[in-house]
Amino acid sequence: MTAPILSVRALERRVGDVEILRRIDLDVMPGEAIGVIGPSGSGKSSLLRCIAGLDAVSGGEVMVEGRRTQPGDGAVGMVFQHFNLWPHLTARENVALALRLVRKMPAAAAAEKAEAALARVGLAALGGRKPAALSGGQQQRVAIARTLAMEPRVLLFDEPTAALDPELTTEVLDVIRDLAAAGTTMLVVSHEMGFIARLSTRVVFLDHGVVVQAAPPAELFAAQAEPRVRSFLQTYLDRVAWARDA
Amino acid sequence: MEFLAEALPSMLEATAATIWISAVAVAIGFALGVPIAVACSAGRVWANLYVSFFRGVPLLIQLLLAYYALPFLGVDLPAIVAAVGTLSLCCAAYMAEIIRGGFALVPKGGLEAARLLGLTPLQTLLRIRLPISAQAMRPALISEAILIVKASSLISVVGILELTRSAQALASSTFEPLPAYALCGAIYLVINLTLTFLAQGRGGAQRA
Amino acid sequence: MMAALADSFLAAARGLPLTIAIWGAGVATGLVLGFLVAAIRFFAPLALSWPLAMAVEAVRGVPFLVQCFLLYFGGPFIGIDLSPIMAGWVALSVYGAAYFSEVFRAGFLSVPPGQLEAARMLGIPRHQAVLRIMLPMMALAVLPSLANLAVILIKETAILSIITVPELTFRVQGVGSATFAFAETTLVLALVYWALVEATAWASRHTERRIARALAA
Repeated sequence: MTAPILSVRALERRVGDVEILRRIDLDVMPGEAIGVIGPSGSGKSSLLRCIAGLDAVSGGEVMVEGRRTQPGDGAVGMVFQHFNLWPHLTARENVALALRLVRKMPAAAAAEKAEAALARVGLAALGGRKPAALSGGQQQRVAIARTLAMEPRVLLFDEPTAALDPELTTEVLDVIRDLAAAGTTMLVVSHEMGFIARLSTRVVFLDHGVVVQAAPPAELFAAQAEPRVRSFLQTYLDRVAWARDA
Repeated sequence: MEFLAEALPSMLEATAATIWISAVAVAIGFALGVPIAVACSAGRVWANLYVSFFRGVPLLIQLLLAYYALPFLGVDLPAIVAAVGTLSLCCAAYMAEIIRGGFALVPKGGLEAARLLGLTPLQTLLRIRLPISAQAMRPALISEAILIVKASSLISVVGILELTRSAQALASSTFEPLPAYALCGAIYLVINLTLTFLAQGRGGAQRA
Repeated sequence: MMAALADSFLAAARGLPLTIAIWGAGVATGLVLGFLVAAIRFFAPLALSWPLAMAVEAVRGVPFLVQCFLLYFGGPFIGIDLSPIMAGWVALSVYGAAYFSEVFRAGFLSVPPGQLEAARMLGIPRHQAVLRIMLPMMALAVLPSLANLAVILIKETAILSIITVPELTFRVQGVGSATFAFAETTLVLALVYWALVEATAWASRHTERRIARALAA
């Protein structure tokens, strides 16, 4: 039995009196793709931000390969809902900057590696463009390349398609799926239920800061044994039903 | 015409002095303004006091203070260093406010991404915050440069030869203050309109 | 040294009333002039607004000190022979007006045209629409900038000492030349102006908040 690459122990986060995360435990094995779902305000994004170290935790700990993580130590990479690309740099420069400044790579080597990362997300031709000259889907793929290039042990996706027009989500989801197929360990927060169902090795359902259920998708989606999961998924099923009628 | 022929050589020389003095003050002011802005944002009391003092006391008084009080304290600087230094320190206070305003416009997410990727705070400041806010700060920076060109006229009071001082000399030697100060004012206007024009021109080129 | 400080504060107290009076008068006339200039530039035809725009640019592009010299030393050559105080008041008013007018103009421009179009479709006469809709809408927007400029003008009044207006700086410097205690007198000047500017800035922020609250209620 291999050791978990990421382990979250009794993780708590409080802001004032509000408990955002309550004693979350989660072990993620190398190569796993964990889908994180739950109603809005359930703490999905907070969980990711705490794992990344962007939000302070009130209790518990996050370990990657047995070490506590810190933002910028390279253990965890994060892809944000709003891409957070740097608007003054081209796509290639966005990817190469941290390679040069943090990894201390020479400019030429960093540019080469940036090109490779961009090629991996299907943007080999657009490295010279600035974010404003790219579509939302392309921007998000650049953001993924920027994170990938730093070769984090665990990749976090925080609603990576929520800010995109529906027709642009597919290109981003395809990239994530390819990464998962290549064995990248990842946690994905998303409302794209079909995508989560097909992508994930396990799905975590969060509600009010608590893990209500964590199970393989077939089990969680098909059985819907847990009433809260059922009522949450019902709203998605309703939407699909509407679409079929229309 | 005769007046112009007599006035122009010395006035143009003085114009060069005004321009380089202003350029030095703006450059130093910006360089000092960045750390002051960072310190202000971090709630450092000294930084807020600094900004409050240099924005609260008339520049004329600041110049007199440097001129009279520094020697009193045993600091003996050449007048030109004291004057340009004061102008720079004053400029830094205004620059800090502009830079702080510019920083407020940088989306938090871009800074979070930098942090997660491992950039140090200094790297984030120089590579991310400043460049992203530069475009938004440009109009305010140009306004500040124009203010400094105008403010540099005050260093005539402590005897530095620049445009205004040169005009004063001209007025008293020719007994014609009106054309002397009109010429002086016109030169300031040309410098400042050029700055405005450059700002708009470059901004336009960047937008295209 | 203590005597020089005490004398300086006394001189400051004697000079302060004129500083405040000339500042208040300059701000008042500057506001009126500035509003007129902005209104003409916004509402009048181009032939009228264009020269005004040039004039505003000219005043904003030339140092206040040079303007004071032009008026006070150059004025008599074209029949404008003013006392130092009058010259100071006029110079401050004109200088303030140029900056105030830019704020008012931005205020006029900030009112969405749809607001006036709505009034027009309801049959409200144009001057009524300007008076009752446009001006109230822009008032809140321009207030902070106007107050800010007014505070800046306090500092400009120090420059009037150079054309011998017997205000704060002039009086306290007089103590300096009499006692040669220049360091002490200048320090007192700095402290007095600092306090004056900070107090005025605080008062204007306080008033702004109260006006905003009153308008919101």
